[in-house]
Amino acid sequence: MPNHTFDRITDLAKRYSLYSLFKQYYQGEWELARKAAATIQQYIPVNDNLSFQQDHQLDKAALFDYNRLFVGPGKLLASPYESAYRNAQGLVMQEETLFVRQFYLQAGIEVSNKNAFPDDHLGLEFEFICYLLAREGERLQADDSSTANHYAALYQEFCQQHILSWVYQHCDDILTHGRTSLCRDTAIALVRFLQTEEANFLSKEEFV
Amino acid sequence: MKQKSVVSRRTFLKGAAATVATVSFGGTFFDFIFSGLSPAVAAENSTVELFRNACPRNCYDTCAILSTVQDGVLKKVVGDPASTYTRGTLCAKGFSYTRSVYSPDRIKYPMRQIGRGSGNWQRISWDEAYTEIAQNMLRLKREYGSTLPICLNKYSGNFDIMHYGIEGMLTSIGNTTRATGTPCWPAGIDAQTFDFGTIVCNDPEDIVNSKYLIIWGANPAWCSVHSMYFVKEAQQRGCKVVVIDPILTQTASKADLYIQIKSSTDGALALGMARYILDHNLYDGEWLAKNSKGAEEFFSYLKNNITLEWAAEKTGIPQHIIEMLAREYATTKPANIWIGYGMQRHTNGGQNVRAIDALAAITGNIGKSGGGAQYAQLETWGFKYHAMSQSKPANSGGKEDRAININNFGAEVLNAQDPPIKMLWIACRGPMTQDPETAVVKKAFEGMDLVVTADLYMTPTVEMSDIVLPVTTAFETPGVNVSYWHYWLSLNEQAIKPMYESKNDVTIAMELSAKLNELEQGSCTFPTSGDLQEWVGKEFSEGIYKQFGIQDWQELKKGPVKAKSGLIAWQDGKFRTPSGKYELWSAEAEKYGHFPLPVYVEEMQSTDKYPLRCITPHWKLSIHSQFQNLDWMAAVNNEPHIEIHPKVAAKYHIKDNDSVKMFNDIGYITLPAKITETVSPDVVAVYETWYKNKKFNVNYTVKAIPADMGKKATGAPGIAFHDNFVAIQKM
Ligand code: SF4
Repeated sequence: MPNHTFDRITDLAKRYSLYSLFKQYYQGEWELARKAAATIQQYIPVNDNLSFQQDHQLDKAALFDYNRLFVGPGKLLASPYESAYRNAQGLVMQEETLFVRQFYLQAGIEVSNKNAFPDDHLGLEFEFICYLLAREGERLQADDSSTANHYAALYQEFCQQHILSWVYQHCDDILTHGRTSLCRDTAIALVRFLQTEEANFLSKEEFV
Repeated sequence: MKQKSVVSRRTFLKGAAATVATVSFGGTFFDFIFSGLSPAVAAENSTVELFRNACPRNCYDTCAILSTVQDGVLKKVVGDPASTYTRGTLCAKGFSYTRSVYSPDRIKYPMRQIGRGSGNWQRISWDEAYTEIAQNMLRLKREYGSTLPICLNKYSGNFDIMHYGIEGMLTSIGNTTRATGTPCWPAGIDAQTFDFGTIVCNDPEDIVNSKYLIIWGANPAWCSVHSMYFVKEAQQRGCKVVVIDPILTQTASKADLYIQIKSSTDGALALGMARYILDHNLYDGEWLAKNSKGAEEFFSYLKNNITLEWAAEKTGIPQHIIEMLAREYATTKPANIWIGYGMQRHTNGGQNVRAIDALAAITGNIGKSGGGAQYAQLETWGFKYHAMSQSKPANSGGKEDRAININNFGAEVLNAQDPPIKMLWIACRGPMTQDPETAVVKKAFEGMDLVVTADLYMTPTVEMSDIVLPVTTAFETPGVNVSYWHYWLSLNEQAIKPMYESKNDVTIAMELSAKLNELEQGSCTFPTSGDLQEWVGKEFSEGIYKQFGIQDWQELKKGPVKAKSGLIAWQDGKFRTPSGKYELWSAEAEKYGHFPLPVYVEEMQSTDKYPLRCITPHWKLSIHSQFQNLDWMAAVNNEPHIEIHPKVAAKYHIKDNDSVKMFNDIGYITLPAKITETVSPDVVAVYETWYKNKKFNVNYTVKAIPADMGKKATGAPGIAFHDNFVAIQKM
């Protein structure tokens, strides 16, 4: 395996593990928040005034906060659905959701309980990314760089067309309404991470 | 408005690209496992399907709906043109159904609140929810020797017949306490029960045959929009339409004559008219002789006690108008009266309905196409109630169910003894916003061991619950619906999958039963499984098949059907009173503590301290606590107002949009004023509804004063919602 491929796999694995943490966090494993924030810190040195607070209280307060933001039963203060940000009326299961569905289908994927859970929940969008990155890694390990590149391109497209179009706003909502450092810091970590990804896309484009 | 991003993207980008490469990370392991996604099964072709639904709301119209579902997503709802009542359209509320199904605010999962009212919620599985609920039920049964400490409060949020399975669920655990009665229309029901034997109305489509129509205390332009088509059609065919109401409603604006009446004096107007009809020999003596009991007594009451001067004085309507109305009503045939629910929400409301019924009787308008005294009908409700009819488990304690008055729910819960009430199950209801005396209701909630609410949205009632269970909308579950007004029968098909983890209330009953039996074998008789579609089929009785001329309920998949007979109330002249006649003199009424004749009972009077009557009619964009929370409704209006007549406003130096405090002994609300001559000077109007995220709830000022009637037919008197006396003050 050539060195640059090895580097690419290593980098991919790091990004994969981060996405995986965020996926699990958004799919309900709120306790993973601290791990996500800590892992991010290893990945990206943080050197501005938005430093992570270390007093994460993995207690009920964080859980209640998490539910107020993402789960309910009240109006979600930081809705985890893409359509909440992109649909003019903030409804779920609208055109915006179906675009995401279409994208998944392009990669041969769909939501297991389709039409019961909106396709554009952030936990599912992150799972989709994990899938794409895992495929990319798997193809790289098999020295099939052309298929790997296909998955990489799909990932970039999905990230740019979907994730980056709403998740920053979503994180702003978390910082506006979140009461606990756990939820707030996770949002900051997520922003940091996505910005890194975005920067990578740009630098690649410059390179080309 | 969205805020700016936390970090300026530009500045960050520079540094980030540089730092990434320096981070070292080990491992190249991709342990991907599907959780919420899966490989797509063979790509399906896009499908568009049509489903038949029915609007299950507490609304006259019970619309037949056609739903368009594309690839499993509800895209569009329209009125079903197959129903000649719905006629292909819905109201604004109905058209918003795609918004309620896909509202981001829906309750998605079962959740437990740690500290009632704290807002601290924990997501739990259905199994955890059932376990906690079942354990509490069994514990209460052990502690108190019966399941009577468990109280159900369920009513009109969903009138699908299968939803009576909620009552069935409670029956299936033993003797329980039931919030009994109905808040909004029982006085009128009893009144018509005394007069006719029960409530039956003409098919509303028959309105087109009327030559004279009095809409008395109803506002169909807001609350029964489909009926307005028939009203206008009648008008076009030469019918004169008169609206009598303390408020110049949207319906009134379409009338040929609008009469503003002093609230709660409707009986005086009716009796004044009757006196005129008697004096001028305009009554139908033949009809009365053949069909009625007590005409002589009634006429002698009119002669001895009623004058037109008195009626004019009482009602605030000039005498010559009363005379004109009486003459026109008595001499134009057929003449129809639509008696609304608003006018009977008074301490003399039932009595007033009886006086109006009497008008229809003495003019011989009963039993005729184009005539009648329309209130409502329950003739098409003869289902089997299979989901509701459950047996009680043996030896579960207590002698029988305990009824408490739904119309004074808070106080009755607090007062219940031997055993006290310790657990509430709330379904299809929002007592924290819709019941009178909110503060007392809240206190009742606070005293519970466990409050379980099944609902679609976070409401003030859910806020005061320990466990909330997400329920399905009408589009996510099968059912069957009829109306209390028109004569159509509609199947409600499951059009889409239940969203999130929502479940039908009957499914909840089945699964809770499984849990109860797992914890204590035999503790619950409710079937633990069953196909909901099949259960819909089991609701149909032979009587329903015969009435609607169908052989099998599945035929309804082709479209709604209308009753084949009984469309003109009392056409056969067989009244269901003890005498078999129309009873102007009702011994049954006397038995229930009322006057046997439809005499005038004094209306409640304002006091010096509280000089204004606050009436709380229905709002056009909502049905009680439903609909106004949706985005479309909020976009039209999201601000409650108090409507005040200019003369009253001037007295209090209140201008349009000034903030006004409205108060009485039990509470207050503060809201902006709307100065308008559409309300009469003796009332202020505040429309009852629930606004999401607003600190508005008019029921903080509404006392649980019983209306005069309701006990006979519904188990408890109604609420005199419109006998709420208040003071106002500019803030
Ligand atoms: S609320 Fe009434 S009028 Fe509106 S759609 Fe439902 S049944 Fe029809």
